[in-house]
This record gives sequence, C-alpha cells and structure tokens, in this order.
Amino acid sequence: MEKAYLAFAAALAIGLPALATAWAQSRIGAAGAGTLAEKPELTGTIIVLIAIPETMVILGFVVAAMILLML
Amino acid sequence: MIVRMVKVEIVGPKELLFDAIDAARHLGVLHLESDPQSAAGPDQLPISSLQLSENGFEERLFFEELADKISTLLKILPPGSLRKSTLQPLPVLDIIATKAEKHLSFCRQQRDRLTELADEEKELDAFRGLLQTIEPMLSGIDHQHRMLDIFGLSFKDQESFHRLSTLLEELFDGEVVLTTADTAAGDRVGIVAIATGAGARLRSLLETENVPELDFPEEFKNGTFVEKVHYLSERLRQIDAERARIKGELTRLGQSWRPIYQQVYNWLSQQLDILEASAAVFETGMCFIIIGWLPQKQLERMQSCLEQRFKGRVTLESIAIMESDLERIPVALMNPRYFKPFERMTALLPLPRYSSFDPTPFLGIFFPLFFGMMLGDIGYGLILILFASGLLMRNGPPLLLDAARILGACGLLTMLFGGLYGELLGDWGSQALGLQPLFFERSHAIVPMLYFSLSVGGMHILLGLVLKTISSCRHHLWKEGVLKFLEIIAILGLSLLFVTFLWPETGLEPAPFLLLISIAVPAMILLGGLLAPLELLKTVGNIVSYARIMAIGTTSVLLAVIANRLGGMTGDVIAGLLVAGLLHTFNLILGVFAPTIHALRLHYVEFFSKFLEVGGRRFAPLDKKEPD
Repeated sequence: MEKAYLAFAAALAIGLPALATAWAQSRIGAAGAGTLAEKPELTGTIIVLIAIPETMVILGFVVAAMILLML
Repeated sequence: MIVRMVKVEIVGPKELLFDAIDAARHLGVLHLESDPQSAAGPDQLPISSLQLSENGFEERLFFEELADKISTLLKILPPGSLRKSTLQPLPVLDIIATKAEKHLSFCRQQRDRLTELADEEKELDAFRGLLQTIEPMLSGIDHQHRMLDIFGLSFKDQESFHRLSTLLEELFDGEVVLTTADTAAGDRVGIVAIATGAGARLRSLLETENVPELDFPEEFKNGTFVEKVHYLSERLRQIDAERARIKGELTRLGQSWRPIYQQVYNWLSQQLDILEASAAVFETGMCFIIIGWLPQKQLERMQSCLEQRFKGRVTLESIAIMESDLERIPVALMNPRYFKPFERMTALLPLPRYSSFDPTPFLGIFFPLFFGMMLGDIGYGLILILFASGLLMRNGPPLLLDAARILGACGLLTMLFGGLYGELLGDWGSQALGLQPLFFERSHAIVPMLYFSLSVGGMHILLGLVLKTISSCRHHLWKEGVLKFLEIIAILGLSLLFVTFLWPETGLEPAPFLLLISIAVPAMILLGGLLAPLELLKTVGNIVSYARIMAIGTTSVLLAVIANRLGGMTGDVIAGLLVAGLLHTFNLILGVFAPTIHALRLHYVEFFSKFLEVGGRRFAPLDKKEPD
C-alpha cells in the first residue's frame, strides 16, 4: 500500500508541474508568435523564454525521482 | 573580450575638416562622439557644434535629393552592363541632375505602364488556356460554315453535354454543329454553330437546360462570339509586344546610363557620409575638433596616417577618460577564433557595458560542457562531429558555418561525457562491446547525477558571483562587492552543510559551516537590508535549476535504451535496425534541441544575471563604403 502512495505522490509531483508548464508555455508561445510576426530577429530570445517554465516540470521530475528512489 | 578603447581628439584648421573626415573614413576605426558634454573634456574648452554654412546646407539638400532620384532610377533600370564608369562626378553634377530628372520621369512612366499591362494581363491570363482550346475548334468551323452564328458554351458535366446534344439535334433537325473539347484546366467547353437568325431559339434552350455561355471580360462584351475570341487573342499579343518594347527601351537606357548613375550615386553617398559625420564635429573660431573613440591598438596607425597626409596640420591625441564617460564608451567584441562563433549566441542578449565582461568566452567554455553533460553519448557525439564536418566542408553561409563549429565543439564534449558515462547509442555499447562507465552509469545513478549537476551549477554560479565581486571592486563599489563576497561565503557554507548531512562518513562537522552562515547572513542584512537574504534565496534557486542537466540527460539516455529494446523486440535484424535507427534519430534530434535551449537558458537566466551589466553602445566606426 505504501508503494502505491509513493507512486501516486511521484505522479502528482511530476503531473501537476507538467500541467502548469504546459499552461505557461501556451501563454508565452502565443505571445511569442505574435512578437515574431513583427520582429523575427527575436527568435532566439523567444525560444529561451518558452524554455523558462520548463524549470517547473524539471524540478517536478527531480522530486518524483527522489520520492521513488530515496523514500 | 571587450576591445580596449581610447578617447581621442582630432584637431585641425577648419578648411581641412572634410579631408580629415575622409581620412578617418578610409581607416574605418573611429567612432564619433557627438555628445557635447563628453566633448568638453577636462579642460572645458569653449567649443560649439559645427554649424553648416548656408551654402553647405543647400549643397547637402541638393546631394540628398539627387541621390534619392538616382537611387530610384537604379531600382527601375534593369541590371545588365558590367561596364564601370570612370567619370569624375563633381564637374558634371548639374548636367547629371538634369538628365536624371528626365530619365526618372521617363522610367516612371514606363514602370507605370508595365504595371498597368501586368494588371491587365493578370486579368486576361485566365483566358489563355480557353483560347488555346477554342481557337483550333473555331478555325475548323469558320472555314466550312461561313453563314453561321457561333456560340461558346461551358458544360458542368458529361451528362449535360449529351442531353444538350440530343435536344439540339431535335430542335434544329440536324442543322447544327456541336463540338467540344477539354481545356488544360480540365473544364469542358463547346462550340455550337447554327444558321444565322436561330440564335434566340438556341438561347432559350440554353436557359432551360441551364447551360451557360462562355464568359468574357467586361471590355469584350460587345460583338459576336468569334469577334470576342479574336479581340481577346489580339489583345494578349499586343500586351506581350508592348511589354517587350518597354523592356527593350529600359534595357537600352540602362546599358548607356546605369554605370554613370552608379558612379555618381557612390560619389554622392560618400559626400553625404562626410557631411553627416560633420554633424558630430565641434568648432572653435578657427579650428575643428573631432572627438571620438578608437580601439587602443589602432591609435598609432591613425596618428601616423594623419601625420603622413596632413604633415602635422591635423593632430590626433588621446585624452583622459572621465568617470562620466564610462556609460558612453562604445563596445566592440573581439574574441579568439574558437570563441568567435559563440558571439552569435551573445548577440541574442543586449550588448554588455564597457565596464562589464564579454559573456562570449564563458559561453564558449560552458555551453559545450553543459551540452555534453546532457547528451553524453559516444555515438551521438560522433554523428554530431561528422555532421558538423560535413557542413564545414560544404562552405555555406557564415551563420551555418558558425553553427557547425559550435556543433563540432558540442559533439566533442558529448563524446567525452559519453565515455565517462559509458554510453554508446544508449546501453548498446555496454551490451555489445562491453563498454564500462569511467564515472557512473546515468540510467541507474539518478541521484549521483543530480548531485553532480547541482555541484556543477554551484561552481558556475559561484564563478558568476566572483566576477561580480571583481567588477564591483574595480569600480570602487565596495558595499556591493562586500555583499557579493558575503553571498559567496553563505553559498559555500550552505553547500558544505549539505555535504555534512548527506555524507556523514566524510567526518565533516556542521558547526563551523553553521557559524559561517550565521555570520554571513546577518552581515548581509546589515549591509543590504532585509532584501539581501532574498537575493541569497534566489541564488540557491538558480543553483537548483541546474538539476535540469540531470533531468534532460536521464530522458535522453532512457529514450536511447528504449530505442535499443524496441529494436531488439522485433526479432528481425533489418526491422530491428530500422526501428532502433528511427528512434535513435528522433532522440538525437531531440537531444540536440533540448540541451541547446537549456544550456542557453542556464547561461542567460542563471549565470549572466549574476554579473553581466547590459546596455553598452555598439562600436560604429565611420567607414568607407565600397561601391556596389
């Protein structure tokens, strides 16, 4: 039973930040696409901006891995 | 590296001003300073901005207007003649101006006419295919049946054609000719020839059967069907002929005049550049003064050049850079060959200030390192190196070559880390070739990889903080420098405290590190206020962000392992190779894209924010433009 709780906790740890990242990236992506229509020279900056919210899901992955491997 | 600049002052008699500017243009290393405050210098000389005389002002307007006309003319005249003119523009400038006016008016008329013809042709183009189908049909009928009315029809489908054919036979007792053909666009068209005077009956039938007559443009509405076809065909021929005539005239004009106009335009551009540069010049009663910035290495070259040309009448001296000048010193980046391609990545950021650091060398060192740490596979690294070599051998555009050089460096580090992790196309190397990791196996050592990533992140961020401390001390911002130093102490203390908890077997006691932190944090609050510890928290967050090196690396290696397993599960060599190859290709594409983005992000967001001061002025020297 404890294993199931751990698995559920790990799933939550990565699932919720993944949803949050997806939402943030959708907003940044839409704004970025609008920006690129006017200033194509900002392509590099926009790509980096889109990558910024990925921190959430990456940290979620780390926490999930720690839950599964260290507890 | 940021090129070291010197502030210079060029002084000479007013009559030599334009010659001096011309000399500076030829060297192409002087960035003009137009700010009067910066120009005043320490001696506070009574100088003012150079005012153009009325003649000079008129001359500038005349040059600008003529350059504008010739530029338009050059855009209209077709390229062709490679002949170069040796004409000296100045003595014949008035004649050229008159000619340019006439030629421009003529060229504009011709251009407008060409536009009209193109519009008309675009409208009629839809009928070209129809004409190609109709004309042969029509000529056949015309020869055999001279006393006939002819109608053009458009059929929706085969059935409507058959139905109409039967009805026509019945209505006209066989006194009718109906021929059909398909156009190139696939539409079925037909021609009906009936005795003159029977048109009304035919039209009534067509209306009942809902078969439309062929539609022609508005201007061809009048006349019989045969006349319409003839006019349309004739008009298309006229358009082609008129366009060829106009193009021929423009080509002849271009062959005679384009080289001359090009020469005059280049000369005018040079004169306008000099006049524009004169706006940044200062004057006293008898002298002109040019204040500017020069790369230190170019100082002697420029001095000797001016000495040679003006025999001491125009002098160049370096002057002291004041504290207030720091914001205005232009920034030029100059890096060794290896780092040069990485300037493309720093170009995504605003230019650093002169008093800050050039981020390019840091990117050149750490970007391939982080990339290699994330992708880390001997096979993938080798593919990237081969791909980069292929691009370099093709000798493409500079952007592509720079990208290939960066990819080559990343591929090399990917191979190196692949060796450390013991990975060759995922776990294929260890299974097929017995490859052993020199460091640790990433797929099974997630936690050690996490600690490794955080350690690298910690060192990277500490380097940023050290650079900021050096920069603050260099500018005598002691308080900021001490704050950054305390932050370094606190981060080191926290890291070592972390080590004592995770690895108690090291025998390290936590007490000294706790003491270190408890001294550093209150000192930070004392110096920087309550927000100072928040900065510390932000820095800790920045270090934790380096966990992405582990996360992306793990996904990469797991995808490679899955590719091998799926390939093996097919049970067939060829199918297995195909499946594994496809998945490895996908993983490699993903493995190039994700580490690039995240390595860049670690630099832009985490590392550079620690020390980089942006907002520098780009070094824009006055230079001689080569004629087109």
